[in-house]
Amino acid sequence: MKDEEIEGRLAGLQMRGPSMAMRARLLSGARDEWMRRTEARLAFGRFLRGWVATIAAAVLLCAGISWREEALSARYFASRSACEDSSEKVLRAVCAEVGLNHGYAARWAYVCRERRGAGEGLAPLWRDLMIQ
Amino acid sequence: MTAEGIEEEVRRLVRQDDPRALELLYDAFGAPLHGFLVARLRDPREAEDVLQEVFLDLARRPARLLGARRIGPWLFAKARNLAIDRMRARGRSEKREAAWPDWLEPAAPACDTPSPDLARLAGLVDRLPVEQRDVIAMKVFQGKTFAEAGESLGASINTVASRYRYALEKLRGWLIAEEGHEG
Repeated sequence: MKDEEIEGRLAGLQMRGPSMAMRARLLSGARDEWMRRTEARLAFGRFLRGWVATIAAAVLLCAGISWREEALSARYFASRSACEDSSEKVLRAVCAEVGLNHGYAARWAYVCRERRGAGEGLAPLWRDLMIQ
Repeated sequence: MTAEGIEEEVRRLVRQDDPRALELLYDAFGAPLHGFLVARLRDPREAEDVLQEVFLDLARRPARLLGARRIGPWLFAKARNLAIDRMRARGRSEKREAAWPDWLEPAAPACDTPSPDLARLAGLVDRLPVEQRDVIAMKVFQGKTFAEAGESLGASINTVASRYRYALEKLRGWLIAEEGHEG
C-alpha cells in the first residue's frame, strides 16, 4: 500500500473546526480580561501619581519654609552688621567655621557684651568661650 | 496581510494597549491552534477550553508577545504546554479506542452514514502516538508544509518528516492487518 493511497484515504477525513459561536465566546472573555487589566493598571497609576504629588508638595513646603527662614536670618544679621563691632564679626566667623549657625554666634556676642567691661580685652572671654 | 505583517500589527496594537490585538490573533491563528489542540486532546470541547485559556492568559499579560521572536510558534508552544497540563491533570491515556473519534468527521459532511472504511481509518488515526498525530493533523488536515508544521511544533523539518513517515507506516501496517483479517 503506497503512501499516496493512504493520503488519499486520509483526505476523506477532516478535523472538527471552531464554530463562530466559539469565536464570539472566546473573544468576549479575553476582551473582558484585557479591560480588567487595563483598569487595574490605570488605577495603580493614579494612586502612584497621587503619592508623588503629595510628597512633592511636602518637599516644596519644607524647602519654602527653610528658604524663608534663611532669608529672614540673613536680612536680620545684614541689618545688624552695620552696627556690630569687629569683635562680633570675628566671633561670628569663628562660629560659622566650626559649624555653628547664626543663633550661636548671636548668643556668644550677647555674652561678650554683657561680660566685657569697658576697656577689657577679649582674651578672657575667648578662654571662657573655648571652655564652654 | 502576510504573516510578518500580522505579527507587526499585533505588536503595534499591544503597545497601544488595544484589545483588537486579540481579534487579529484569533483570526490569524485561531483555527490552526484549535486544530492542533483537537488533534492533541482528541476532544473538541477540551480543545476549546484550552484555547480559551491561551487567550485569557494573553489578555492578562499581552506584553509577553513583544518579547517573542515569532508570535505564531510562541502561541503553539503555549497551547502545547497547556494541553500537556490538561492531559496530565485528567490522567488521560494516550491509547484510546474510539468507534468514531470526537475530533474527526468526514470531509464530506453531507454524507449521513460514513463508510465503515472511513470510520475504521478515523479510529486508526486516533490511535496514533501524539507526535505522529500532530504531524498528520497539520500536514494532511491543515495542509501545512513540513517547514510550517516544524515551526508550529518547535521541531526541525527532518524530525517532522520522520514523524510523518512513521505515522504512514503505522497506518499502513494497521490497515493491511485489518484488511488482511477481513480478507
